[in-house]
Amino acid sequence: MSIKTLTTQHRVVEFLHRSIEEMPFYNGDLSDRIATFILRYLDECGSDLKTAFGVYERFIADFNGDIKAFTETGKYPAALKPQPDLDRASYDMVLLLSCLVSPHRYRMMSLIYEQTRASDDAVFVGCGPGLEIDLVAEKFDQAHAFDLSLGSAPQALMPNVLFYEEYFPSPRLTTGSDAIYLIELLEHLDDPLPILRDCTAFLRPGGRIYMTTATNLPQFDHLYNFAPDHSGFLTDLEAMGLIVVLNVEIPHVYQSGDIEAKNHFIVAQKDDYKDGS
Amino acid sequence: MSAKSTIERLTEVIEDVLDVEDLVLTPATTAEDVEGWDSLAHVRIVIAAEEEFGVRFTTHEVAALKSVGGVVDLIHSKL
Repeated sequence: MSIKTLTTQHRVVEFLHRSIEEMPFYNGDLSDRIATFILRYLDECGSDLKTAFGVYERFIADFNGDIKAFTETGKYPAALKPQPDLDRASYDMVLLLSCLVSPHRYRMMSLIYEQTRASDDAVFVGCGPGLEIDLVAEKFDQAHAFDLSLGSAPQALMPNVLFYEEYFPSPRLTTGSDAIYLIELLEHLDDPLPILRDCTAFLRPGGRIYMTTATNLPQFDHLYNFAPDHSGFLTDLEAMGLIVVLNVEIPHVYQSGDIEAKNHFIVAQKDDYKDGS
Repeated sequence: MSAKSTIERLTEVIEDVLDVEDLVLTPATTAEDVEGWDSLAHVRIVIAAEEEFGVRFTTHEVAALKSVGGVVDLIHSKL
């Protein structure tokens, strides 16, 4: 399967992905990998691209409303209204499709794909449908994936990955790790620092945390809004004994309003010296 | 082909995509003026317009569109 296998099934997806093809970070192999995973995932769930895109459209319509409310109030939806009733499978479809039609989501996947170092093992915290794992799992002898709500599809599609439907850290995994992924997780927490401290403690010396942050992104389930200037957060990472080796800003562009939204993709390495001191 | 006839045809395209009737568009009309014309509806409108007029737009051209008049001018430039 390839990206063309998917885009020929849906004209709007094809059009939206065309804009990503013109981006400097476009990677044909990556698009093929993402498209293949999505088609396998939908098949595993008994769904199809048309249904998934319908879910995505409704999600975007709600998000556009949330952008408008954020522009007017400066508050995230969680502070303004009840949470929408969005089931895990639908949410996963939105997450997956956005990786092919939304430039900032595609950029995030490209950074994970390009920046991951091969090592013994990796832990993915808040893994969702698991696309990030599929993109890089071959670089690890063993991948562990945590999420509080796991569907059956990720396990079926990635039988070599060990899945845990529970919080991280867990007493069932105490060996430490060379790589920990916190992708689109921190903004879902009231305070991102406790989980980062736990991850740093779990990380082996010289190991890396791959993380993303979100600023001015009024998604219904986002709780923490990272300050546009990340200097305070970066200082917090350093205080934990982490050295920031990569910090890429990923701006968002929305027709419904300029809210200066962005992600940062950050790679932080555990300081060997401090760990041994 | 006059600009008016193109607007009339484009209006029908947009009515069909947005599932509305009796839409009144002028060259100055923008997406913000029309309920339901959000980012994804915009893409659907562009695709439907490509089919209606037998033309093909680049993503740069689409990103630069600011008004109905801009769409009409772009269509004319390709006919």
